[in-house]
Amino acid sequence: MNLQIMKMLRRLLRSDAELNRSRGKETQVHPALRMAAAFLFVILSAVSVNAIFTIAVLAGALLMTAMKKAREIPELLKAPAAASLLSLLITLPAVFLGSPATMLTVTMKVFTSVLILALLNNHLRWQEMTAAFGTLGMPQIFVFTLDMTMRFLVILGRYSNEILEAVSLRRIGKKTWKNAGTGGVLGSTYLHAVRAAEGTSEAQTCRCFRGEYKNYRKYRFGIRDAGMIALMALVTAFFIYTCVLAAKAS
Amino acid sequence: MIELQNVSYGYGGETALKDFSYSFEKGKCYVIQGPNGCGKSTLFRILNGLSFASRGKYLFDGEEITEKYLRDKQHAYDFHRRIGFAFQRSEIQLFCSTVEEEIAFGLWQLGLSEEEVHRRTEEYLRQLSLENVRYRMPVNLSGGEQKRCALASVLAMEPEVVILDEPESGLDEDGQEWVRKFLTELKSPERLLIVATHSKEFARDLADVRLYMNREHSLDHAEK
Repeated sequence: MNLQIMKMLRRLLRSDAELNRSRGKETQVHPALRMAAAFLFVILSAVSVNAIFTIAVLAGALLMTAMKKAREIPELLKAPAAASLLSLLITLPAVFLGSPATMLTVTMKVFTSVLILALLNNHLRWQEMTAAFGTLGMPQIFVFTLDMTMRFLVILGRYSNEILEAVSLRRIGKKTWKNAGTGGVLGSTYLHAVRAAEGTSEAQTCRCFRGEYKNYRKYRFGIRDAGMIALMALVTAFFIYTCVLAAKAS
Repeated sequence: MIELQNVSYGYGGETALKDFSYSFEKGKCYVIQGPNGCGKSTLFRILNGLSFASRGKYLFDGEEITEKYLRDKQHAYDFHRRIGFAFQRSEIQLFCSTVEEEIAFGLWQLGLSEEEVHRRTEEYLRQLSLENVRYRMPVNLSGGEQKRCALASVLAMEPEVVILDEPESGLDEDGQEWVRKFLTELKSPERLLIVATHSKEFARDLADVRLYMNREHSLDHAEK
């Protein structure tokens, strides 16, 4: 349990440190556009009736993955591999029913979708993602709740990690799960969460919180944003073309 | 500016504050000292309208501050706009995703223009030496940086009253020195500063008036 918490914290902290190091050039394409593009590609891949389109999108996603640093690639491919393996198992009966293409198509689509989302997760820091939700028209309270959730994940993760370390030190030689005092750890963490939430609410009251939650940083539309929009239009046009092709073929 | 008349506070049979009476004047720095559990934090919570006296009166510029009074949103807004409070544990009061947003948060609530929000945010990032961590998540900062971020987020709103609960706690020597210097520069005829601390040196350097609380949760004596 301790190790899982540390892994999660490491991811969040690395994301935070990377954002600070990039010093305001966080991402050169507006995060909202990146998210919109990712969702568009996922949806089009899912509804595509022509395998050519899905293969083309998959090729693009794999190309982006290949351009990543070597140590990042296995992390990126873990989730798509697991999802497509599961999909393969679920659609395996299709082979025996005389439709092996169905199994391959579904598996390929699942792999493509999950890989696109993994790439999005890798490209965007979580602060950019929550800010992008705001730009895409999500209610401010939704964005605020997301940010609060991430914050509490860090705070409670650290707190429960410290308690687990203390428990580990105290029960040297005793390794049973029963003796781990898990109930106490969870209870303490819960109480800490309640106190922290109350403290946050009071801090917001002291700063006259009236529900306004805006992004400080404003992105400027640039040439790369135009390029992303053009790419989205091109992919959509290609999708339509492949649909027409499929319609003609049938 | 702030007047407390026989203010008492208790919960679950426990007394947290007993018959506290004092008047705080604008333009001065009051340092409150006392043993752990004497009621300093309770006093600050009452001053900030987070808790309410079970007995006695709390007057802010002649207006009695009660739970009913602060239930009115406009009253609450006007009150909290004029008082800034930095909690003892900075982690609690930092809840935005980046340091610059933390400072800008209060300014958005004040309804200031975008230009003014940016101007003040940049100014306080500079003053509190937070420019190199401006994109960091506040809860991931070091203790000293969190303290500075909390101070910046409060001071950016330019309140008339600034209340600080043990601002030097958890900091190393350099950090404490920095806070001491910063608060000395913060003193002005237009501002009321109320600080709680355990440090005698801190109190000696900063205070115009030193208030001592005792274990009976009341005000023992005041020194000028």
